[in-house]
Amino acid sequence: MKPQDFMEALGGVSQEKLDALAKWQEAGTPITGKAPAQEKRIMQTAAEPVPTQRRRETMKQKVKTKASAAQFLPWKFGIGAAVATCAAIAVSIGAGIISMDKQQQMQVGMSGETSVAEQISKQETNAEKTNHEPVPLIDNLCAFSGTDEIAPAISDNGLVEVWRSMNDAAEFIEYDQIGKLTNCSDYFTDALFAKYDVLYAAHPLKKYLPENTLRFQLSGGEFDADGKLHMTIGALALDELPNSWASDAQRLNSVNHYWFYTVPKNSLPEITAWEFEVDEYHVGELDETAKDAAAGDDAIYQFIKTTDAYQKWDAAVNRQLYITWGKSKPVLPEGCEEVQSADAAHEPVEIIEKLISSGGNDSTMMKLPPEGAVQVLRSVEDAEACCRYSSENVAGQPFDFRNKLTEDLFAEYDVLYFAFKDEQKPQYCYSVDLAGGSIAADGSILKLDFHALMFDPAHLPSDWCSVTEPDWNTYYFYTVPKNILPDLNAIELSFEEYPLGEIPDEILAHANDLVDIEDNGYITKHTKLQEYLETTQEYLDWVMSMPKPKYISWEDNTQLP
Amino acid sequence: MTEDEKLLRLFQARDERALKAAEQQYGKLCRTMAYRILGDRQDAEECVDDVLMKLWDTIPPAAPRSLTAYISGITRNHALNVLRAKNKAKRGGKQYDAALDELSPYLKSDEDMEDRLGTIALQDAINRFLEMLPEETSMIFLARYYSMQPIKEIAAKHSSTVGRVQMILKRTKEKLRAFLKEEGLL
Repeated sequence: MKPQDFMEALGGVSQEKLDALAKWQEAGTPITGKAPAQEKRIMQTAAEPVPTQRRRETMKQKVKTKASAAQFLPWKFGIGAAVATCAAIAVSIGAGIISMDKQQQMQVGMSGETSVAEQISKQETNAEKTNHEPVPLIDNLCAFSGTDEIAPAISDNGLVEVWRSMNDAAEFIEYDQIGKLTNCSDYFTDALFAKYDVLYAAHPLKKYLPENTLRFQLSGGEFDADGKLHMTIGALALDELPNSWASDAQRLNSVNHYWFYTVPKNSLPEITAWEFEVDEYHVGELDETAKDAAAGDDAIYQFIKTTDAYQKWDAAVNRQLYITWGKSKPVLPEGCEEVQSADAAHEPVEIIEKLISSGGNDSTMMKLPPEGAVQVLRSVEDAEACCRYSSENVAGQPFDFRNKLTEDLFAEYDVLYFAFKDEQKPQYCYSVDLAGGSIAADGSILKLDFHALMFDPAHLPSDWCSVTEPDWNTYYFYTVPKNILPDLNAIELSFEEYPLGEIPDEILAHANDLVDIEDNGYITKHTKLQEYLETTQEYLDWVMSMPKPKYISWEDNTQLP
Repeated sequence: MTEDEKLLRLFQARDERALKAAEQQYGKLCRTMAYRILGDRQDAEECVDDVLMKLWDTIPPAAPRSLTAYISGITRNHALNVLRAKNKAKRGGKQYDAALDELSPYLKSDEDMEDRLGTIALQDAINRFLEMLPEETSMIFLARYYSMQPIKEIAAKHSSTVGRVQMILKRTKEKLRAFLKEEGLL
């Protein structure tokens, strides 16, 4: 048979398959890359993250800033343009405009004339379900600030709606097209609504944000048992705004902020009651350098970026956002099908940060059994008991990870430690990175998903040794939220392979020669192979395939600790 | 009524505006697919005209459930016929050649597939093979080798990566080879 014969015969593929293909292509259904047995788990965690980096890029491309940048101070560093837009507005909120209770979860508003409790009672069976998949806010289509002249008027309590078609967006589009004030209406098309619904949320700024807010961003929402949607805004605030920033404060008296997020089709009910809440993150006082007006805005930004409040705020808002469900789930409107698994047990746990990844062998570092090791470390004592040298000289002594596994760290986080033998990695693997994981139903087995960058066996570096040392191990330590993960006693590894393309002979021949690479002003040594690989599309695909943030999800009916 | 339903109704009513509407709605799809196979813009353009006439000739009585699938099928088959007629089977469109090159290591055998019965057996086997695959895998396989979509485009359109799509295709072709061997077709 020739490939041409096959191509011709493929023309006789069944009509059902072709119909399915047309639908699949039109819908742009995301590829999960998983076998059906695993697909169920993926569906459960449909809330699994869109990589943060991608989300930021998208935001950067799409956000319109008509109402802000021209009038207010631009926010220059860090995150995406949507936040920048918000910040540019928020930075101008002046002292004395609002005075609020400085509690973390501050209730700032209330709206909605009717409750959906009545609807819920109509479908008690549904309402009795207590665990539902969070609905991801997929993409920030656009966000802007402006007065009532720029968009349809909203009440003092804001507005939250689900738009399911162009009809729902019509009023806004009509408004927007008079003078094209925001350009947001460009995003609303039949094609968009064929794939997604849009969550529209708008609120007055002055009423909701705390004094001296520097930056703010929507950080998610939750339906309570009565079906009211509580939208949360993360606000980063200073004790006092620098003088140069405070002068625009008065301009915000009649300014609203508008958010538009895509959500999975038919995943949200009609929203009849809502409330905006603010999580405040206080930077406190500026240091002397930052206070010095002559130092300029950059000095202020640099100072803020180093503060604990900023780090926490950043972690809270710059992640995949969700609408979650409280005790009951409101009834979806007629004709809507629930698109996500209704029986998922628990929300995924975010893997916050990689503290340590280190290679070592049985004789010099921690000795590992063939099946690897895993432990949730909850205190310094746990860490010291776990991390002990196995070498003869210092056998039993705590391993020196103590500078990272500190009491301060454990006050805030637990640490997920796991390690495995290199021989468990696929053959011809150049590098692996963790993509996420799940906890099996009995609650004690951690399944870890790695993405492995693979050499083509026909194109290996000249000194490549394909036989791994049996006692060589890799050890990983990640911070995770406190008291969420159960005690774990086994790991199962899976590796999704990402092939490298053909590598030029001249690179393979000198793969381990060292070259200087400049990185942020520092010179570091890379191998010639590494330098070359980092320029390839395959390497980039592998890097970009890693979810950010990463999550550990729960398989069906997993028992919580 | 959807755009497709409106279009079908025009064809059924023998209203010649159907041709213009079909060109507007599906011309780009046809042109892209034909160009992938033929590798020549002029040929692709002619192919689109021929496809429109075939639609006119076949609807009615045909009343396809999915116009996209129906038009893709007609375009693909017609473009392959044109290619054969022009004796360009070895050097066609870039994506067609690339698809042949990708399949070649998995499908080469010494036997020729000249007879009609052999083709029917192969079609039947392909359909059974596709049924055995997970839905997503079969869609990726068809997008690449039926629609001849470039791998990069499949990855981009379906929120994935080139590496992942390549890996899925590689594994599927390995399965295909094993399957066709078992069936005695390789």
